[in-house]
Amino acid sequence: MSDTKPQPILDQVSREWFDAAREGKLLIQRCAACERFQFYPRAHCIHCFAGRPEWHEASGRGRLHTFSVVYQTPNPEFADDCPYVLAIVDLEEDVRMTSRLVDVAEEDIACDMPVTVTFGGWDELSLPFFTADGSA
Amino acid sequence: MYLLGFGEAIGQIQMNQMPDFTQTAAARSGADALATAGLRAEEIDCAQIYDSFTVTVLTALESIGFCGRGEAGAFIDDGNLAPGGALPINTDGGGLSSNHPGRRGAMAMIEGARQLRGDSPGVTIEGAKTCLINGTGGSLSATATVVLGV
Repeated sequence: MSDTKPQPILDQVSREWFDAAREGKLLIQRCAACERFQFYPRAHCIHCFAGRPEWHEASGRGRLHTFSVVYQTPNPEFADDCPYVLAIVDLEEDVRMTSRLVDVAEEDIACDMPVTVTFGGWDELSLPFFTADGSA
Repeated sequence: MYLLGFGEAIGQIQMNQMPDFTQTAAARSGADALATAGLRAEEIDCAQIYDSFTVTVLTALESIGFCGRGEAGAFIDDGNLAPGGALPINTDGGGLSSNHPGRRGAMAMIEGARQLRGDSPGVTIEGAKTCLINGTGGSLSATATVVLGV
């Protein structure tokens, strides 16, 4: 018994990111002016404030910075997912993203473990999740 | 009573973008407030720290420099935050025991001023001459710190 999960509200900045995720691509942004990366998608560079950062396909590899195993949720639409692992991942490109860690036994999860992107989601929504590097 | 020092600082907006989950922008607002007051953290007699969540006080204590990084737990265990300790805090009972109207920082300012005037309705810290007040807002993102003195 699960309620309908939420869907993102797509806008000019985020639509292409979600479209790419549906094709199995993890996009981050790179500034044409200062060449630094950023995530989450924005209309400007957070480092030098230049406009229109460009899309860049990330390697999908990174390290698990920290995590929390979620056993209960106040959101009924996510109740059937519990327990799930909320993950903060540092990508190789030096950007930090919030995601989920999947297909890893709880006792095998450790901070700084190498992870690689794998795609999951619900309904029509595709999202980059992460799993132990080597098991994807 | 004098406003001896003031500092404010904004870090990230989204909490999940914090470069370090155990340090907030209080590292800057606290340092600025103490610097303008010309005081070191150990010279503060008492403090009012907005306790929005348990972790907020722990990170504030470490970020402002009342104890070292990773030492807040032991610092509290040793009784430093209680009356008679090195740094009694939230002498009005804090957010859980006094009030939490959503702008708790204003109440912390009131308690700080009352404490130094010696007319706090709660615990009185004898001989307190300096009080640091710190509030964290946003999503652990914005902090302001003041130092009051008599």
